[in-house]
Amino acid sequence: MKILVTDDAKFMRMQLKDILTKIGHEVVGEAENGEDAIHKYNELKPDIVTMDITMPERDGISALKEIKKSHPDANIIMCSAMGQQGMVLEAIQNGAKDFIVKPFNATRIKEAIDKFL
Amino acid sequence: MSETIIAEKQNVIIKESINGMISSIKSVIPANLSFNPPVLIQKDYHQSDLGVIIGITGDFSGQILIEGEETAFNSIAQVMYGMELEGEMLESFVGELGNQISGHMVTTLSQNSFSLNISPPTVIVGKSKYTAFKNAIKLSVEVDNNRFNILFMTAKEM
Repeated sequence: MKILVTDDAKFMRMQLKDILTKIGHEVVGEAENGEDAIHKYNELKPDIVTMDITMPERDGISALKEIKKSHPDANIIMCSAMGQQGMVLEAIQNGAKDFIVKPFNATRIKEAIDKFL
Repeated sequence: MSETIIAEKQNVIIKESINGMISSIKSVIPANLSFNPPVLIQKDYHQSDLGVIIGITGDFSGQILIEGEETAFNSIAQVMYGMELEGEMLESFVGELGNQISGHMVTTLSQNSFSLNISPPTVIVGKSKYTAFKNAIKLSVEVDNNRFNILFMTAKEM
């Protein structure tokens, strides 16, 4: 699977890239905010996007809505420290395929990605 | 709402926030932790090596500062991810730690019907002085013989 990783923290992008590579996937790009994710989605057409929520410039929920508007088939997995019921519901209602609450482990990431195999 | 009711609500949120913060730290950092009793600070505060600030909006407005020596954050990185970090990666980790701890706290409080949101973290490197608050509650946490501090800072009276 070709995956685009979105998180404002370089450390988390490194963690996700490490886990995804070890379980046999290719990280084709890294985005550091929602705006960056929208541009990189259009440019790279990844199979899956991991999307943080609290980010500067454009948050992950807004980026999710924008990507889904022009690419309804986009596979977006939210990956956030904010796990309020309302937040999870909003993401799922707007087309997110899964919601991973940080801190995560490799097993949880694999479980989310394996659904698309 | 009268001013008294608003002030009472603020104090309930602060108390719940501290309880939420303790439970959040326990779930984010899988280590033996000990918590010192919270103290009220009403004067300037001096940060050690490294810190992260997260803005809080909603039913309570203020900022959370998490700060400590590099060795404390390195101990936390070691228990959470099994790695030593330095430079830019350690700073990014500290930002993410602030995001995860505050995010969990807000999630816990939402279960008690408090509506709060957090801003992206701002990492502050080096010794700094904080003056832009009226009141702060400091919570000190010991992890592997290292200490880090968490401050709830608000411009409001407590």
